Amino acid sequence: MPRYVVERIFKDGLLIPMSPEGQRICLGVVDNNLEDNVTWVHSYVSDDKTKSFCIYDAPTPEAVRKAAGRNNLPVEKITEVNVLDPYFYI
Amino acid sequence: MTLLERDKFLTELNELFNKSRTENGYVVAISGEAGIGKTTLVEHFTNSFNGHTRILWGTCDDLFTPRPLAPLYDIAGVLNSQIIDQLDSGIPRPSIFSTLLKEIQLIEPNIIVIEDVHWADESTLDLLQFLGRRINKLKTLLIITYRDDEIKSDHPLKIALSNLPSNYLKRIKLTPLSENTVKTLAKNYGRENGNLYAKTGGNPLLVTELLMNEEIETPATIKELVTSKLNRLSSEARLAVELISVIPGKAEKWLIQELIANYSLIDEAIEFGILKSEVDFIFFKHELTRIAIEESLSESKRIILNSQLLDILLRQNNIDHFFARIIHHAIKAGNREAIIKYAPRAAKQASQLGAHNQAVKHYISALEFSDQLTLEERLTLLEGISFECFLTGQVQEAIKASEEALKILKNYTSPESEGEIYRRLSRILWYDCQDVKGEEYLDRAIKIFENLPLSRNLAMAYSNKSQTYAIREEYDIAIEWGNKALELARKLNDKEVEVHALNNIGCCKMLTENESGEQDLLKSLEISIEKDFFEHATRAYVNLGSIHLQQRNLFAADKYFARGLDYGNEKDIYVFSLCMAGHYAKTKLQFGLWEESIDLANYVLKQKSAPPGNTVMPLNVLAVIRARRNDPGALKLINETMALAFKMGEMEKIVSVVSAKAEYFWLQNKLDDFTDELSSIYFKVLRTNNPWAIGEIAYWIWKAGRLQEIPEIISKPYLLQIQGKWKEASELWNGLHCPYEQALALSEGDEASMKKSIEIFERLGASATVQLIKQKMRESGIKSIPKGPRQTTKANPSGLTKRELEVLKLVSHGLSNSDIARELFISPKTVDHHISAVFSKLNIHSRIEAASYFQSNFVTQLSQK
Repeated sequence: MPRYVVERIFKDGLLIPMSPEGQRICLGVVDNNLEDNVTWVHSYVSDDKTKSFCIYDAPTPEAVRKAAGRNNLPVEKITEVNVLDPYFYI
Repeated sequence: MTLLERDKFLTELNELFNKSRTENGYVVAISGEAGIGKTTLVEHFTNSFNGHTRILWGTCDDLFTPRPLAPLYDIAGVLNSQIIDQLDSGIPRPSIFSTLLKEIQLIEPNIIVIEDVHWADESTLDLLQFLGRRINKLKTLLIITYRDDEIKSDHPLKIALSNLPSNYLKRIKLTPLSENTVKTLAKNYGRENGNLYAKTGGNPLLVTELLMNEEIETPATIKELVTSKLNRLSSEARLAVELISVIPGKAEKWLIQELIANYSLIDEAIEFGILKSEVDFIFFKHELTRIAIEESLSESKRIILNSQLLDILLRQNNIDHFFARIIHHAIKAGNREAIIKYAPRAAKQASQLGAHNQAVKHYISALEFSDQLTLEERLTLLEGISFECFLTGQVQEAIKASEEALKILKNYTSPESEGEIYRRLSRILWYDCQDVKGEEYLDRAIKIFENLPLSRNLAMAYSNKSQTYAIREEYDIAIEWGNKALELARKLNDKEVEVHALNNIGCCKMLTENESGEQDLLKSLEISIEKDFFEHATRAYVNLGSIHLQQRNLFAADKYFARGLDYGNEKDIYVFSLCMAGHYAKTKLQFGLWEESIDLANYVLKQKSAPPGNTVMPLNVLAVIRARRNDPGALKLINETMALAFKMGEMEKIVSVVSAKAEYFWLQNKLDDFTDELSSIYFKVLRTNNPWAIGEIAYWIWKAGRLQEIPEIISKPYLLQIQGKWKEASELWNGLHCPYEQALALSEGDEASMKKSIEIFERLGASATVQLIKQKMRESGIKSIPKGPRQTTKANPSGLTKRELEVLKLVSHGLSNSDIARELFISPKTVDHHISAVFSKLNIHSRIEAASYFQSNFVTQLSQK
């Protein structure tokens, strides 16, 4: 399945508390993604929490957007990517 | 008898039945390995109704090639209805399905059970989808059972299940018994040393059988169980059981009586718990037992027993009820004559009932003995294979069979057959995008037919010729051929060729703005509906819709596609429905309804058997949306569809994909790279005299600054844009309900209109277009460029909607439901609905939890606002 980097912008910052609630929110997103056959691998969040780079496995970019819509998450840009391992060449 | 560890499944079934009875029907798919207790569960569930509810039970059987609509025959037998007569009389399948629907609705509620659908024939799967898609209108619970370990991902059942409406489909997967339960059971039987759980993996069938058979201590297999059981029967009863074991599924009592003189032997086997008896049938308590016994038979015994059965079946008067079973036993008995004689008849019957895959399989069974067949017999089989393969989308196999048939014709002169094979092959080749070769074959067919007495084949070939020219947009010649076909069809009083020809003529007239074209098409549609020419009716809908789409009459296109898909759905016509859905996706795209457009496109692409020609439109739609959203993969799709469209040579598709490619390059700000290719295509498009096709391509050439003169024939909005009259153009596009095109026109205007265009593009989600227009604004020195998109959906990963958030807020303030209803001007019931949505999304269970959740997660966010 193709892999995508999904960039998201959160003007008010991404607020997911480190608590059972936060865990529930994340798992809720994971559950919602299932409907579109989308897997949230993990994310990198900018220090000020206004931007995130999320790694997703998904069948198509449309599926990524559908899942985002289901989760009320904004989408700034979707890029299809491949893994490059720097230590592979050593 | 109580069932172990099945309470929650029974509760679920009961709940679903209650919902089906009071609200709307459901489909329940019960899966699990063999012996897991699917039938037991369903029997237990249905027995609890004790005659209060009508239960309709059908079973699919494990024949070499399954009997078409076997479960429907079972159900119709119970309904005591006219359905069996209809099945036998060969009336079109949609009418049979409609009769069934009416019969079901006559007395409600119902529970319909279709067992073992992993063995279902194609037509039964169609029936399943037919009922599944209407289940919400019925007060009926439809239960299907299947072995999930026997179906791979490309199994037709998987596809059928995925086509059922997910809102009304519940899946139940039965799990093995737990270790604890098995241990307790073993203890109750005084068998705790045997490690029953490890041997059986908790499979209920194995567990029960092992507990009942004390002498078995070794690791359990069904075979061992069966042997030990059989050993306890008298030798005569054992022979009887072996004889019955070669009959898959349920065996009729009259059949058994013909086979076995002493019926008390059957009673013995029933007493030993091997066989079971129903009103008219005898069958094995479990199909696994039957298979194990059948497999344990020696080769010679198997042949003798199957031959015995074959003889009885061949003696019956209503032999056509047994074709599939005759073939099954003939294959197992190695009886070539029977296979050669009956397989083609079985195939014809299967085809008539819509089980085309099974028809192919029957034909192939007979073709295996090709050295014993006459040329004519082989020809019939090959033609049959070609026809059925084509209907099931196996285009390559269809071509192969037809070409094989042509080879035979070299040694066997039959101009009628030869002409007809050429004609049909030309259509198949067109679907495979080989239209040059296809046309050559069609010309050969016409030449052959013209040397024979006037025939419908010739009329049909003329009409095909008309179709070919129509697709290439050479309308005048197409109308000439169409009239030739129409004249001959009317002379021969052949309605089918008449509607086909009328359809072609109507299309060509509509495309050349001749008012009477739509009337011709509607006339063709009317006759087709009246005469139940399902495919011709759907073809008329496709053409009416797609021509209106081409001419940007979106509402008319929408109307015909919606009606056509309904019609196709009602009559279960698959051919052309995909083509229609693809064009419908394009209509939605033009309306600016991108999500709907994507769903329709994906619906087509999901169908594994979609012929390549039908994927062009949906892929094109996805490519355009990706390009406009700046999503990855647009160019790949564009190149893919371009290759296909050019191979097919259809102008409508070529224009669509070329325009998409031009727009993609324009959005990337490198339209120059594409202009050479664009110009050479433009030259071809000009010859079509189609104002919309010309307009669309001319527009991109103009955008690239390479349009030398305005073409004579060109549709109005494009003409206005090219003339620089962006304002009038944008108004026209607005009137045509094409928001993206409207915004494109606005983006060619002054500062204010460019800003307006950005608003529209943003609303549509066309971020690539927004970026480009902003860049153009900057380049032309405009200072106040709108900042990034205003975020309408607030980042809110809890998934609450705005309304739900409001309700949550009021809940946390301690308001009651009726207070909230007053506050928000909604009904208390709606409030209730919102609250339960909030609770389930946040996985909380009380108002207090809701309040604390709101305090800790949303108060800060909202106060910042």
